[in-house]
Amino acid sequence: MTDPASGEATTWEDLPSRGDVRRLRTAQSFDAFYLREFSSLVALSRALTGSAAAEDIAQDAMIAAHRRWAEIGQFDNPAAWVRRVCANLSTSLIRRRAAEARAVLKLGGMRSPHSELAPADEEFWAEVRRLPRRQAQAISLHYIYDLQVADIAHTLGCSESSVKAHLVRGRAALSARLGLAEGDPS
Amino acid sequence: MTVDTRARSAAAALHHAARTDLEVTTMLDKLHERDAQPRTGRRLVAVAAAVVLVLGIGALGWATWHPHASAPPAIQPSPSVVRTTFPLKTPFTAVLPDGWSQEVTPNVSAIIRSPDGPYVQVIMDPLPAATAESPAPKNLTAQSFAEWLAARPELVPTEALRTTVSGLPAWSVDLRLRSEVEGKATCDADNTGCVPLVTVAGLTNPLGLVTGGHGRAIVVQLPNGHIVGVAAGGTLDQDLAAMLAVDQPVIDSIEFTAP
Repeated sequence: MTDPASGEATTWEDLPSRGDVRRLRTAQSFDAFYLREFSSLVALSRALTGSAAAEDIAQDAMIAAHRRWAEIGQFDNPAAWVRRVCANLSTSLIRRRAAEARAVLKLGGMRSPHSELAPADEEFWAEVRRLPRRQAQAISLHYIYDLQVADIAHTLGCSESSVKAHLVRGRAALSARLGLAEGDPS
Repeated sequence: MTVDTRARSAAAALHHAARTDLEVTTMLDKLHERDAQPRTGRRLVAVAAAVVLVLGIGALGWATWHPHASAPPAIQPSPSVVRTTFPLKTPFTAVLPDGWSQEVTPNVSAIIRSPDGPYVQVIMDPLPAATAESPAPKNLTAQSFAEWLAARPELVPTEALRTTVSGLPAWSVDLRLRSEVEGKATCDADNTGCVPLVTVAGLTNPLGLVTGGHGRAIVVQLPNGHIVGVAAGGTLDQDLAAMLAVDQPVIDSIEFTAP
């Protein structure tokens, strides 16, 4: 089983169950963590998938955290771990959807159970999803969580110089496609 | 306007939408419910229950539809199995294998999806996507719908086969596009090369078969005169047998209930 934080995992069936005493001791703090982080996690997944499945993906990321909470809960920043899982699950879904788009009985246009975004906002995130995977993740983390380069690097598990490059290239592509000025990145 | 300004506004809109749509405490309760049972055990129980339901379909039959019928189900699924209720116009329940997700458009459609791609979609009151060459049947029943589907000239020759779903009469049609029509039709703006086959009030686009795709459609006749469509699909890298091996237990677990 791939480590969920590392990139390619899309299911958590094989994650070790660690129902030990520490889990009991940390159960309440998981609930507080969940209540604090979940809606932002859904926002991140929706940015990266544009999908009604964003809620399920965020929930899957939280389930992964819950099952390892005895360990994750001890991290200095457990939110970074779960955001990374969510970002990776979301971009995995995009790749899977690309395969499904060529497949079988097309599901047809489902009405989204989610609130509609304004067309300009929808267009912006659609363009983000067209970016290369890491650029899309970096841009989404930066704007949804207001994270700076060091925090994004920590969340994604890559170097700060890589994150800077992803942000610069991502902004440049978005600027060109949406007809916006690049401006001064914060 | 700069990218930065545009992005911050778009991010704020996403946060607002997420806060508006979510009942976070309910989602937290669901997480705890889902994690309450050992995963491996739950998966094995779910598979066992699906097998039990396949064997029990004949006995369940109309007793499933009529809650007050005298004959009880011959075999009861294990109480530890989580059956999920789907709120379509005619509700149904199904056993979701561990890890499967669901997308529901209330009253109209439910998609039950494996993490590996195969899915089952249940559609309430589907209508034929009629064309000049394939006018809709005058007397629309599950059987006439399935026979109309099987006779579509865009499909590799096929036939409607009698089957049952939830003990109710149903007709099954395996679907594949003829190579000469592939890529020549459109279901919606995002899906070129898709031949529309079914329309549904409440869904914005027709359902159809895409180039290179294949699947199975089952049309079920409900006692109240309504028709339900059950589509078994998957991805292009799966042949029909492999797809159905995953989808069929879910289809077999479907039980319609009187609304």
